[in-house]
Amino acid sequence: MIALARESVGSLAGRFRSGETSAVEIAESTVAQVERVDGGLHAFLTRDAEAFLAAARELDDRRARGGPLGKLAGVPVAIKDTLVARGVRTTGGSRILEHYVPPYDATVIERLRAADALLAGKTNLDELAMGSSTEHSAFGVTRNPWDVSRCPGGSSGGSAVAVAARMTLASLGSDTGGSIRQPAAFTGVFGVKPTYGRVSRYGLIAFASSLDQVGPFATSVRGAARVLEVVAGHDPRDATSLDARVGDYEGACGASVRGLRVGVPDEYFARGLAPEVEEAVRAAIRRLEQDGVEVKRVSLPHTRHAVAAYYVVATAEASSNLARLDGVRYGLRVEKAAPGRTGGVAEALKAMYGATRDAGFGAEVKRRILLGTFVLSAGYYDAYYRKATAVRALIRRDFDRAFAEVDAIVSPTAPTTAFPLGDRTDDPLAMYLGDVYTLPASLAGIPAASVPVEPSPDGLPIGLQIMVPALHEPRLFTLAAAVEASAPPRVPPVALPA
Amino acid sequence: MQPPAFDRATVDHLAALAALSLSDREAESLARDLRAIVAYVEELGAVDTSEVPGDDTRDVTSVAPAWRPDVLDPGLTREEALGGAARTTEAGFAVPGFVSAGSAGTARGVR
Repeated sequence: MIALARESVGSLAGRFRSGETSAVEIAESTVAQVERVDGGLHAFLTRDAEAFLAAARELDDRRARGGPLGKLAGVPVAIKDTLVARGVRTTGGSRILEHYVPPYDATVIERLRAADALLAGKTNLDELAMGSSTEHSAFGVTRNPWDVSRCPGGSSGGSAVAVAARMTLASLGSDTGGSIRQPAAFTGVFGVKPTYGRVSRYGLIAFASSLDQVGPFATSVRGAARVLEVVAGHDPRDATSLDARVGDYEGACGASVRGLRVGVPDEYFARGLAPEVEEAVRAAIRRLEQDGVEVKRVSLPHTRHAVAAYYVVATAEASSNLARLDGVRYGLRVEKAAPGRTGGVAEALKAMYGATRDAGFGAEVKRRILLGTFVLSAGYYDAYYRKATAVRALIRRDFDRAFAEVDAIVSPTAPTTAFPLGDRTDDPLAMYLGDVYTLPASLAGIPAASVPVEPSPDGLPIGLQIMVPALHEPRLFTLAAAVEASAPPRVPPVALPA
Repeated sequence: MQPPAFDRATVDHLAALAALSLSDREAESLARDLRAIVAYVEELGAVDTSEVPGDDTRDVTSVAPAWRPDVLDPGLTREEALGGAARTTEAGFAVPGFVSAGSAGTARGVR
């Protein structure tokens, strides 16, 4: 057995390649760790241990034959259950897709397979990626391994916890308004939302298409860099995929930060920021300064409108995207007895749509569909949707202006540490306001990451967010690695070998 | 512009547009949530966006996406495409009838 708590993506790949360990041993250690800790955490929704071990055996055979080995050979990776994998149940955390078995692979899954990663299973999330705590999953909550009475953040809570509790050392999530960065901050792991279009969305269950982006979590900055190198790059099957060269992200992790100009925006240290979060983040910025980074104050004046703009744009797109979940081509279908003839010829069809969607969607998804339908409806489109897209453009301009003076911008990832389960489920607006620091980078389409800094006095993880201009991921990794060096990754006690 | 009152009638109208059947209890609680959320996003109305040309709201980043060649790609087989559906016929996805026997001929005639 391998003590996964003492490994990283790079060390596992290295030990497999050198023959020091086998893929089967790695896979068995992964299954053992999941079985030991996930009962109390619930990071995984679907696992197929047999298929997982079979893939490991195949890889061992290939190595024995001297066949080629990919960049992630022998590395187990957990997948957020909003990415489809051929033949593997993919629920999106929703009743409406509870029994859905997709007939194709998402591009990122295809690329992980091609790099010889071992797919460890599908992880829990807020239903259809809508939420900030993983409490909106139709299949139960995921718990934070640092304090099981608290949420892990969301919506990619399962993928964050799989990594935090060292069940896998890397995972994939998706981030529409902070769904990778905020759970990374809450669980003490590294997570990146790449530039919009950097990673293919083909096979990602769509939430808000102008914001959705797939990205990695890992126990180390380098681990995530390697996974991103594998999954990033142009994909003709996604019309918004960028045809730009994938950088040497892992190599960038060792580069010097000396001379980099880093902006600290006043607007991200305003009312509502918990003092322990501010203190830890400012301490990390001071350490960057000691490393030779030039720290400057910057202003992003439209930040305070990000929550309103985001919840208009994202729900509008969601209401349109989710129209496809209607019981016809896949997923749940609920047919009630046909109504009488009085209702007109299409009544039975409409009743099927309505009953299917009512039974299939949870409250948060319905809330967002209705809000999105409202902001797009006749008479309100200009005042809400069009206005929000214009405010979005102003938020993007704020970043353009700031990046004329600095190379990167740093801030807290979230205003608080992980909040208790149940704390915000009855107050949707309070839940939305917690996303205030992650939404602007999503609206601007720029890359942003959360890297752990020193924990709060009560031991809860805190994340520093790093934002850089579009396609400057290498700089993001350079800075993140420097922050990591001053606050090395911590492992929650529950994940340590017994 | 004044937002609607978000009473039961408004929610029922939106639910019909969104093909959602809601129970009474759900409709009441969603009306309450929508009132609070829309009252919050009202702040957008006060932001001066007069300097933003329409073009500026079209793309997410300034990096232009790439074109792909306009060639056929193998897709799913019919069997794969139909494999996830709750009801199918040999020809495709099956849905409850939406043309009456009397109007079917007419409907077929309209292309």
